[in-house]
Amino acid sequence: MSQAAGQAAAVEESAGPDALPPRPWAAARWLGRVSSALAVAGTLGTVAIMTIINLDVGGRYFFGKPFPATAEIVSAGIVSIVFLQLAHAVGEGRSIRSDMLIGRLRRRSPRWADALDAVHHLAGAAMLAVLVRYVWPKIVDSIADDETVGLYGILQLPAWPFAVCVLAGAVLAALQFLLLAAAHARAARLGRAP
Amino acid sequence: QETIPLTIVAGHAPVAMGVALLRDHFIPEVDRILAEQGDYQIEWTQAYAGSVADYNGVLEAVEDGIADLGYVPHLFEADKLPLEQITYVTPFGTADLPKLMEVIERLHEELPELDQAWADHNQRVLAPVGIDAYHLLTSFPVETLADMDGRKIGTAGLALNWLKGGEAIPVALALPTFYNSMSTGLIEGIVTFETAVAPYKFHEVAPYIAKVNFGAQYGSALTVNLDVWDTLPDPVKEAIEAAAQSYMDVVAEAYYTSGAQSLEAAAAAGATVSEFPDAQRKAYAEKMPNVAMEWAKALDAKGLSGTKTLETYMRLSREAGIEHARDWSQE
Amino acid sequence: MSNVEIGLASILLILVLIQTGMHVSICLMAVSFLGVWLVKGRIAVAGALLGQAALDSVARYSFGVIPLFVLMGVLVGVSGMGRDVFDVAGQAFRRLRGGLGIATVFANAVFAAVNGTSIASASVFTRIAVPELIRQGYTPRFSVGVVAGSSVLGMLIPPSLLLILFGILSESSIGALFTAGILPGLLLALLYALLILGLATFAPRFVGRPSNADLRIMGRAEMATRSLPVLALIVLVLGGIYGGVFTPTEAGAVGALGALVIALVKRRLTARGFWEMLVETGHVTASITFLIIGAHMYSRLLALTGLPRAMNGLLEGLNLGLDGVLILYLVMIVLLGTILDSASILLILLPLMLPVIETFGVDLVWFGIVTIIAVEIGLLTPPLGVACFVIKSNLEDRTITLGDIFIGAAPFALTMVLAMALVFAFPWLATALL
Ligand code: NA
Ligand code: NA
Repeated sequence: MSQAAGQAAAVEESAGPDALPPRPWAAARWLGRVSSALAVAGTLGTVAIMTIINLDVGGRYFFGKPFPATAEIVSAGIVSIVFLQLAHAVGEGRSIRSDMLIGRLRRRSPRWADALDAVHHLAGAAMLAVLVRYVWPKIVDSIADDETVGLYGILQLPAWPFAVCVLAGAVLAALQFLLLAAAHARAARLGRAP
Repeated sequence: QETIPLTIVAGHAPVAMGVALLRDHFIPEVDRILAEQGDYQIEWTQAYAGSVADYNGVLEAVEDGIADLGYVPHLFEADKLPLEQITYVTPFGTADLPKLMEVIERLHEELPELDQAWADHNQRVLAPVGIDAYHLLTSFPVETLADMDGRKIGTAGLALNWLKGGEAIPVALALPTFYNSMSTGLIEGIVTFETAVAPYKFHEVAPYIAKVNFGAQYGSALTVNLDVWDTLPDPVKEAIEAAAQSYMDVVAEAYYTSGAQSLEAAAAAGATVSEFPDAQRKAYAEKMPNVAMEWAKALDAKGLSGTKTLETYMRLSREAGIEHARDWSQE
Repeated sequence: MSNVEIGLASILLILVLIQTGMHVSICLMAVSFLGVWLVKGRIAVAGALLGQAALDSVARYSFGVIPLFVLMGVLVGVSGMGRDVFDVAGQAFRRLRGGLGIATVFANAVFAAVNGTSIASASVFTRIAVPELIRQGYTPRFSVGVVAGSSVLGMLIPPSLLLILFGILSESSIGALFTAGILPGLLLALLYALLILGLATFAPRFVGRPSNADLRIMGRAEMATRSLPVLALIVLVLGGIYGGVFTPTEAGAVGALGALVIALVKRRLTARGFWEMLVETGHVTASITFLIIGAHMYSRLLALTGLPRAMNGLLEGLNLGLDGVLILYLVMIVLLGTILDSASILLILLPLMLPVIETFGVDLVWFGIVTIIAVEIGLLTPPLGVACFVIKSNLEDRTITLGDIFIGAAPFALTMVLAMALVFAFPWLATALL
């Protein structure tokens, strides 16, 4: 195999199932920006978790003053962090999947591979829409009931900001899946630009 | 004969006696009563140990109809069932669990708002479930309150509130991590209930057991989804209610006696079990901020009957001959 | 269709859908949703189960530190610490065939003593070891395989989140379980080393033809200096855990902060680099944790179908002796391991199995170690092998496929079966140190 052919094959392979055909739409750019912003918030959340646990450990060991309700805050925080970062991870094609069949299909018939990809991403959008539909009332309830995160009598934070993060992340991830489905469908119809 | 499918769910594993007795007493009892009548039989799906809902998700699972019956540890639901937290904000009561559960039953009879809170979450209580008395286990001898000064004491959840006011350093941990945290020296003592001592071998790492007696606690309930309940035929309802009543008695008795056995086993294995002097216990309770009053007033402010529940509970306790180390309904 | 049949059908459906390349988390969600709808007869119940599982199945302290263990891994990579320990181990084993592979196992065993999840081990060593293994001429398959295989040491050598979970469910001493995990952990590491020696000698096409001719020989002093930062981190984490400063769970946060400080002191970290690292940590955390959420939804469906209980009833009906029951149980775990994550398997099987096991008077600590090894085999088996997924999501080289990882990990999964059999046959391997 010539060097160039080898490189081309490598590019083809590395353009794994999630690699995007060109996205000309403004909606895609905006979605990308909002996803990034949420991912930034999630990242800050990770740093916050690291800080709180270290304050708890240090405070307890050196000063006999633990940080209150650390376990409860971290437990609630991880769910928000995951959902905040989900849309960005979906957009970057980082969701975990098997690439055996689709990779083989892409080498033989890229357009059929894109069609299958469109179906998979549509399923992703549908399942996240279902999730949003059924998480929504739980979040409305948690606001109505003044639900809290933390420990009664020790430290309590309102639960709704945590819940809103989950909801926002799920909505955006659904949109990302939808956009990818549309892009793959377009590629299946028109073929990918060289 | 008609077969009715019912799903029963618990977040705790059947190592918790309340869950084990669902499997070994409540369900066989329902089946036995129905078999005698011969008209109905239940096809049970049993899902324990968090396989369908986590311990803090059972209330919601019953509410949504994922579970038909559930073992709800409502001590983790202070937001949704605030009034049910009553025993946790009134520590230093009785160690006599069966007697405490009678008071809890009477409290529910006198104050319909307690059951209403469950109904708001689409379920009704079939049997309240309590847990045996909490004590202090340490790696050093404790005879007076002052012995705890500056020591790191680990405990879980609402029991952290009982370490307020003293000079001990409260460390929030989950029950299963107590042993390791003791053996590495992360904590120097544990506040936990009697039944947990021997099975988790806490006495190996905390061989001094001071029977401080923070009191037996009311922390869980067996509940049923209201939509499901309304569709059940009367004979089935009656069988379930009868089995629930006897389950409630059997659980209370089981925790009470096995709590004592647990401490005996610890003592036999070399632990030092000592009474905590009454005067010290009283001093401990007096030194605490009035957590009950704070709790009641906060609930009053939300339009809930906090003070009414507190006062009724203290009165019913007195009537049942239960003496708290401090009258939490007084300033 | 009966509920049990729905359970069986759901397994088939998942196997097929994952093969077609559907996102694994979406596939688990969709099958769970349809399954619960069929079992309960109401779509609202199926939706409620999905919503509840999404909100509460990972809402635990031990899951909350996953991003921090991932962050620590990224930092160990960026700061050059991982490279250093790996180079030193590579030096130490350089005279052996497959020396760098053995060095990977060795370094993983050391790292296992500072972290509680295989997820962390897999993500750290994908970054540290894979590029260097490939550079020295090992095949990509072998390189990712050795990382996948040795990552399971993270759960076997204490501290271990899975052993903690087993202790909770079986009410046995977590301290004893930790101690019991040490010898089997070392045994597995030794078996891996022998496996690599054997493969390098007899299956060079699988392993590659590595050459470390360009490897500069280090002096003792240099080896010591380069080991120092990682040793400092190990002392911080292990010393902190066993010195009673923090718990194994909290160690994730302290270790991440410690690694951050070391990276700053070594001047290996720019503000931009730090930011990119956090974003990367976010991607790995989101994809892995969302997968775990999907697996929890699915395990909830399985529990509702009553399939596990039916399997258990079948087992009891066969009237096997203790050994027969245990062997079937272990086979069942390994099979479930192909489609479920480790924690879900324990949650589903243990409550059913423990009453059966206890009637035989089995030593629960030994039983726990055998169980954990069996469960961990599932990390390496397709279609749902969490360790392999973690490696895939951490790989910078996108040309290595998930299939490559599973194939590369296969010899290591088989070696785990051997380790499991040895601990099964010689219980003293688990109980000797107690
Ligand atoms: Na470990
Ligand atoms: Na697997």
